[in-house]
Amino acid sequence: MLEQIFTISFLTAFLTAAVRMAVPLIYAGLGETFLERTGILNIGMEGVMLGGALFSFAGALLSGSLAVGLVCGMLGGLAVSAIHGFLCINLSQNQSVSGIALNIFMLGLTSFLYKILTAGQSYQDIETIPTMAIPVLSSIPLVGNAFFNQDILTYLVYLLVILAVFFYRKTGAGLAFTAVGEHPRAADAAGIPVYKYQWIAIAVNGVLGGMGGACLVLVQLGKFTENMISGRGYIALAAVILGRYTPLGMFGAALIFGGANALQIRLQTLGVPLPTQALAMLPYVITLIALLGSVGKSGEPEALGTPYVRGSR
Amino acid sequence: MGILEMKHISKAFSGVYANEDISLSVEKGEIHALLGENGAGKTTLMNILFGIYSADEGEIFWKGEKVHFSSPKAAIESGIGMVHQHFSLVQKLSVLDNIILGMDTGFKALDRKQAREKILNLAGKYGLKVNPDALINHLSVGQQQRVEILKALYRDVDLLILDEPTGVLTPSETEHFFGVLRRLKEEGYAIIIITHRMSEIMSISDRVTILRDGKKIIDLVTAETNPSELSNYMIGRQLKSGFVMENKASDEETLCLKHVSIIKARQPEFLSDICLDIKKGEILGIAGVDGNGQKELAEAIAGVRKITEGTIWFEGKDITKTTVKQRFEMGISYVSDDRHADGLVLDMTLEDNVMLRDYDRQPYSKYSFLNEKLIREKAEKAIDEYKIKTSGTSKGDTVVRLMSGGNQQKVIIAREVSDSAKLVIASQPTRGLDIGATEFVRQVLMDHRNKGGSVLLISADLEEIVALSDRIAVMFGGRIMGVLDREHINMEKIGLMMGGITEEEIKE
Repeated sequence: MLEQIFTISFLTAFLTAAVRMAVPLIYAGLGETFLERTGILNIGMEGVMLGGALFSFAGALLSGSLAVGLVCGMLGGLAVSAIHGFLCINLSQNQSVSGIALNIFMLGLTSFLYKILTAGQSYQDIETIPTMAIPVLSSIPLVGNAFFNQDILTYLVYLLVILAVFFYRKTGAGLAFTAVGEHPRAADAAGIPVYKYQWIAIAVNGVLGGMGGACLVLVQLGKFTENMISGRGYIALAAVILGRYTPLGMFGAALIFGGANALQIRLQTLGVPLPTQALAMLPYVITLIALLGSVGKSGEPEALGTPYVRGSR
Repeated sequence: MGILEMKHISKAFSGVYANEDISLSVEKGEIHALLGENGAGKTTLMNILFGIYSADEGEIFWKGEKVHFSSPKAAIESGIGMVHQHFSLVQKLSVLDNIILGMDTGFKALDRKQAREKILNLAGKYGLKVNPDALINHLSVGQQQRVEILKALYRDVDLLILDEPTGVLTPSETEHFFGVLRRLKEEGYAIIIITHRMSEIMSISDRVTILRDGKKIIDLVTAETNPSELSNYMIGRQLKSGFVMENKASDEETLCLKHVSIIKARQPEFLSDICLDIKKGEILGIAGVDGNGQKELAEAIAGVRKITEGTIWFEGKDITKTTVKQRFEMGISYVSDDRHADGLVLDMTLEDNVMLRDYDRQPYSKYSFLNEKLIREKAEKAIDEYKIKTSGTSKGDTVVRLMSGGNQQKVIIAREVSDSAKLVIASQPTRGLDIGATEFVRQVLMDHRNKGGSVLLISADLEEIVALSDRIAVMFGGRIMGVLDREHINMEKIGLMMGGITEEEIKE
């Protein structure tokens, strides 16, 4: 068993799968980081991703174009987040309740729309986005294939993570967005339009979450199935917390979760003498352990979860 | 015509006037004080100017032009800066980031180097020393205030509004702060300072506008007035100056602390070797600058905080290991300095808050059921006795959050100061209260003493300590620096001890 695991081919395949599993989490996690840094928690990320998945599938299926599919996925995620934004920003409602409601609602809605879309026929497939190896980088032993023999959406997410790091560390806008989540009243007093920035963050959250869902459809599976996000939205939330609300930290955490998932699948195929259900628990067990390990050093935005009401005491 | 003219400003909140026909004029190079009790409308007026509220009636002229600021941003851009009573600083960001926050919200890299130079320049010019790279949550309150002022200056304002700026400062910090204001004034800044401290108005301001009950009473040139005149305009009635202390305290000890310490590894000492006793019928005042262990001392005696060394004795019994509830039942009650965090459940009604200590006790509770009639009677008695203002007809059903600070404090006092309380720990009992409520609370404590109860009075307000205490202990850095009798009070000595010099060192 062990000699089967410690081979170059196994490890390469494992790492490649880990990155592939992680990419949707990174998209969603980045969107969620952006939103939570402005003080709004979107537990509804699962629903946002489902929206992105269904609409990207529908767009690609009906138009025959993957690009159109991707844009539809972004818009689908955006629509779901916008509901959350309206409830949480304009109406100052409880963010957890809104998020949970969105998840349950989207689960039903996407299944329903999918039935209409396919007129009861299941197994409609679309073609998927092809991988394209980056010369030189992809030939680095072990990690080269994993990180640099992927599809365009994967490369895009690397770029987005780097941009996000620069955004928060160096730019005035990054500072302003951070202040909104830490101390909205101070941000307001400094002339930062709190609600506008929260709405921008909602939009980013929706678009990126939608892309996370679209990734699963357009890159990995080529089809939509009911409840296909199956908890990835929640894991993205955990990745944000584990990554202490920083883009880079979230990126690392998402890779760990992706790795855990890849590992359990690999172990299943190797025929490890454990029930598949037990192996399937692995990513979630790692989530729980990771959260335990990060107790007390959260870096959570001070105003996270508290609606900002202007002029209240 | 001044740089700022506010004319006939009115603003009502749900039908009640917070500002009614107020006019205010401020000149360039002038420090203008805005004086009034809590709730007189000072902060509302300034919030209108600063674009946080919009006035129902009236006009604002700024630099000769009629303006209406729809947001703080608009006000800042026109050259008006405001330092709020509660600072608007982001704790996790550095001083520099806080100062430049919101100035440039572009996507290009910030020029932090240039910003740092400008900040250091301003800081040097006006004596506002602060490390630009320090995180806000590592700074003292005085330093945070400097950051707030720098933040305004950095934005090239012409008018600076300061809301109760000295409430959080030590006497020496206040002196330094006034030096800064004078320098700003020389440079031609206009400054509005909101305060209710007479001595500060007399020493720093050029003119003073007095508000009472949302109306402007008068404006005066400071040099031509005096504190008692100001006080008369502000309060509209004479204050009682002294308290009657009936009979001397007895020799019987109520509370005795023996070598009490709270020490945690790798942290500064919270309390260090405290030995204190309080007699029956005595008020023991604890003086000291905020944050020198007073809160820890109060919580240790009330039982909220565990002590790591020493023993606490109450009426001859060792209570070191007893719980908050057991101590309350023995007669130790606690008026916390933080009404909102420790003293009240803000979203519950007055009635429920009054019952917080007794809800599970006969006769208010029987077989786990509350006796609502008795509870109502108790609440109504408290309302009458303590003249608690409730909203409209709801009386005991008023949600405490909707009450003013003074009335909230009265609710706590009504609950804690009863005949069964043998020792009342009163921590900053009048902080943030207006003069009427302050006087009332002090009288309650004095009455309690005169009836033979004991009071541990912790206050940052020296006047209060001196007016009420039989003896005064001064705390510094978690230690008792010395204890003075009422007959031997010496302000200079107290000041020195507050600054960390022990009684022995003073004698030398």
